Amino acid sequence: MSIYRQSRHPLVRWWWEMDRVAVFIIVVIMLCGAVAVTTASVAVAKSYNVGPYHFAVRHYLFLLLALGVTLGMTTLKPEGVKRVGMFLFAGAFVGILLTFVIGTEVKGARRWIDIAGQSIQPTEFMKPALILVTAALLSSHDKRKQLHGYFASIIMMGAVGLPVLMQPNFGMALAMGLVWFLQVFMAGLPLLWLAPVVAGGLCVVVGAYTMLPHVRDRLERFINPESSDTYQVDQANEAIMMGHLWGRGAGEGVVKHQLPDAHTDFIFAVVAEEFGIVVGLLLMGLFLTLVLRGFSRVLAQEDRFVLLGVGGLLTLISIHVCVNIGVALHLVPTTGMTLPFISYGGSSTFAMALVLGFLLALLRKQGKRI
Amino acid sequence: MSQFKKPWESARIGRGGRDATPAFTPKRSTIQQRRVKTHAARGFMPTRAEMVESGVAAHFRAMIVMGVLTLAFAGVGAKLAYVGLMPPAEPRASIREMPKETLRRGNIYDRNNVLLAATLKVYSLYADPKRILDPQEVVRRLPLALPELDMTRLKAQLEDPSRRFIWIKRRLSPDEAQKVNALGLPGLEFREEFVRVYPHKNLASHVLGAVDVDNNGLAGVERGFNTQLAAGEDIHLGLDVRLQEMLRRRLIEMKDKSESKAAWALVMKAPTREIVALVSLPDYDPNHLGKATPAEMFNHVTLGSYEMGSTFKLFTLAQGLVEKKITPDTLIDARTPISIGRYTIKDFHAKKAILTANEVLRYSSNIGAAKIADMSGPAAQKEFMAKLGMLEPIQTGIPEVGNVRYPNNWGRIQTFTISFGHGMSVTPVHLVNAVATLADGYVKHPSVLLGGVSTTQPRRMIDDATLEQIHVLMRDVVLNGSGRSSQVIGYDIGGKTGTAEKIVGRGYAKDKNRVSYVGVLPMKNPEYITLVMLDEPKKGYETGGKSAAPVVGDFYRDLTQLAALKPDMDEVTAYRALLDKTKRKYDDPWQTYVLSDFRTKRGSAGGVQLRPDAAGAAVD
Repeated sequence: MSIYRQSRHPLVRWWWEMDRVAVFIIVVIMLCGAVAVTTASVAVAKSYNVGPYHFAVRHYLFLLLALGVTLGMTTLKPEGVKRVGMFLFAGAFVGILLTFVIGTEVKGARRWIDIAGQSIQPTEFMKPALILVTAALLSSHDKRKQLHGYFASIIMMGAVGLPVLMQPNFGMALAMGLVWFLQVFMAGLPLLWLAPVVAGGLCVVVGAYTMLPHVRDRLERFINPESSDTYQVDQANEAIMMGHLWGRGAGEGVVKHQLPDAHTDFIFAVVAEEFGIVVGLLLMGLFLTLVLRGFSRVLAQEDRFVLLGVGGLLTLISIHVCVNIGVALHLVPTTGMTLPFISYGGSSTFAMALVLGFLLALLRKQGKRI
Repeated sequence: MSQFKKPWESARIGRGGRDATPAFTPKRSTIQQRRVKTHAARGFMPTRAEMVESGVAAHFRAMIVMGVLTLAFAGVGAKLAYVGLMPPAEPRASIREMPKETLRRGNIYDRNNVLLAATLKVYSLYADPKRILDPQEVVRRLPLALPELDMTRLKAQLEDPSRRFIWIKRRLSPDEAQKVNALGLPGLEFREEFVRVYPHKNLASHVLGAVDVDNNGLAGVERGFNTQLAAGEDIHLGLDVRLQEMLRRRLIEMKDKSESKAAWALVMKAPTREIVALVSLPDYDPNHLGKATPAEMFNHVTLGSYEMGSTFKLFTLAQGLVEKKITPDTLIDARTPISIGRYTIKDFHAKKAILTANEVLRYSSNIGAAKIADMSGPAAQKEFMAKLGMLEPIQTGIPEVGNVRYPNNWGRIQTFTISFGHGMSVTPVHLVNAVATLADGYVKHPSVLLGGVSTTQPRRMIDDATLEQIHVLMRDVVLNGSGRSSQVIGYDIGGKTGTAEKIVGRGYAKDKNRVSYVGVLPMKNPEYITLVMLDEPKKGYETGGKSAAPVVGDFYRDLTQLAALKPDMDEVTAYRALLDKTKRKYDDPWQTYVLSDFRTKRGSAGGVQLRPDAAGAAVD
């Protein structure tokens, strides 16, 4: 097998068709994640009464498997991605419904189901699935079919969003809705139609605010931090301040001892405290590079499914990154959005592996001169 | 129909005429191509215009989304930079304000660049209660590393929510710091600090002084030059640790032998008036200032102010010679005590004879000294003392400066008593500095620094002819008087003993003496002036000649060997002649020599009148 570009071997073609820089960035992000979880999870592991590197070792394993999943997914053609997306959608939808039946309650929300001793959060997998299904529904070039697609996807969004809201997982539902909205926007929804869609979204937000007490609580804390207890965010904020430019040094952080979610939702605070905001900004830069590269490649494509799918997936990644860091900076109300591959967690890591796998698969320069 | 071909179809068609032939296409047609056909057949196929429109719209809107997402990243990144670069908020400021990161304090060196005081980096442990997760755990585990801590007190401090800074222990050893670190307790932090170390321990404690925990000078040079040292400047002293060690060892020997309460000594280098050795016993280890007692911390040399006794007769004689009132041979009637007012001035061992001025010094006659002083009168005596710098405190760089005490009403009686060293108190620094003036004729300012003080112009006070006379007088005390035990063979050492009764209550105690000896080496070309004083020597060491003078002699013997000081050839020749004549070996030659007949001959050769019956009777 020759590794020259002229080679016709499918593996070689696959490699050269892929966005190799993106693969490199993903690997770098995964390495950052390994370091971050190693330092952040030690204190958490102590409070869970497991060995100090329990979470770290598990995360290494997740990352390795995730890299495999990502690379595996890249072998798919867009048609295959669409099909996998359908199956994933079906599976995740069933999973979400199952959370109401056999779900485990964690911190007042039923988001997890246990399968073979492993807890899984089906909503994490629903996100990429919904994006692909929405992209497929909106991908027609035909105006009339597009119209059908809009209605179909609104129903789909509602069908998924409602159970997620009821879990309750308001942040996740909002993120899904936002990605869906931007996909619909990209699909060319006439601007006149945008108004009722936005209005509908606002109705959901206001409805959740009135119906779900924890949503109200969090929003109030965010809007009026003086009057209420914003312990986690304050700690995260101070940690970032203490980190200053270059950080306290690896393992020297203090905030991880005080935040129960130091290894997941607030891992960025740990990274910023120990390695400084320069490293924090570099990390953000890696994600942004990934997003911008994706857009620059997809804009050269004609296929609407690829365009909408990639646009949705990139939006999802951006939301995860910006919301996760925004929470630590008190820029966004507290919500459980993970930092891809950096935050500890099996479901989110595998879901993100799928997201990036789909992304790279759709971005392959298939059949073109490479 | 063909006008709606998809890009890949048109590409294939464009590739070659053969593929364009419809006869071959059905075989190769893909699913998409079939769909195209069916769509077309049903009439649902979008027009090219529609396709282009939707595609362009989608691309344009995707670019808008890309812009929005980029803006989101930029916004979050900007906030991150803003938070991270914000000026330190309150908690950080409070910690930073605690002990400042100080400059490394300057070192202190002796005249040969031997390190006397240096600064080492150590770690001090403090706690930030807000950052401590579990005070109980700290209280439970910290003693594993630092068992000596008072944990009940610390616990109370840790549980006080108002505190953000608690010193747990200052200056941990590297071993202790490692142990505390290994505990891995959050909220315990180390602060780098500098600790002052004095490698020579007690040796020069009264010169160097010491610092407090925050490295502020408390005494000695550390205090006197605190500003420079704190700014990181090094200080070079005129001190010579070798001389310091020799002097201190000799002084300790004598102090122990004589069971004195205290003993102190000062060596000044005559040409520059540098302090080259300064010992004040008892002394202390500046590394552990906290353990020092007030008695140990008292610097007798610079802070102590004493009635010096007979060493003052040097000044009386010198004044007489300078003012030409006397010559060494002037006869003074010392037969009867002087009665003036309610005082009677007597001699310890009255010669009841008419003495020459030379003999007044040799036998340390109070009556003789009083009569010489009387020739000049009080005003002249005061002026002479003022010229010698005896009426002002002397700043040497050591901040412990003793006052001088002299009578407000300086009358005739005072002139008499001051002539033999009573009724006026000066510090040992004053005495040594004034004797240096008698030795080389110049008034200069003494200093603890290397090179002395060059700012004040040295002032000539005594002319060469008079200096020669003073030299002979001081030399005579060593050869024939009470200073014999300070002699070192081959060197013309001159000096004067002093034994002052201590003031106890309202009068002088007969049995409590403060004895002294000041010796100059060598007299002809003065290099070193040494003063040794002992407080209440006992066990037969009650006079300066018996206790202080031997210390000076021993010290000078060490010094001449160490410094390889060139011997005076006249002295050596005289001594060799003695050995040849007597054909004897001397174990302790100089003592024997002094007591032998040779003394008389030597004395005659020196032009000094001697009275055989006075030999051996010299007591100051």
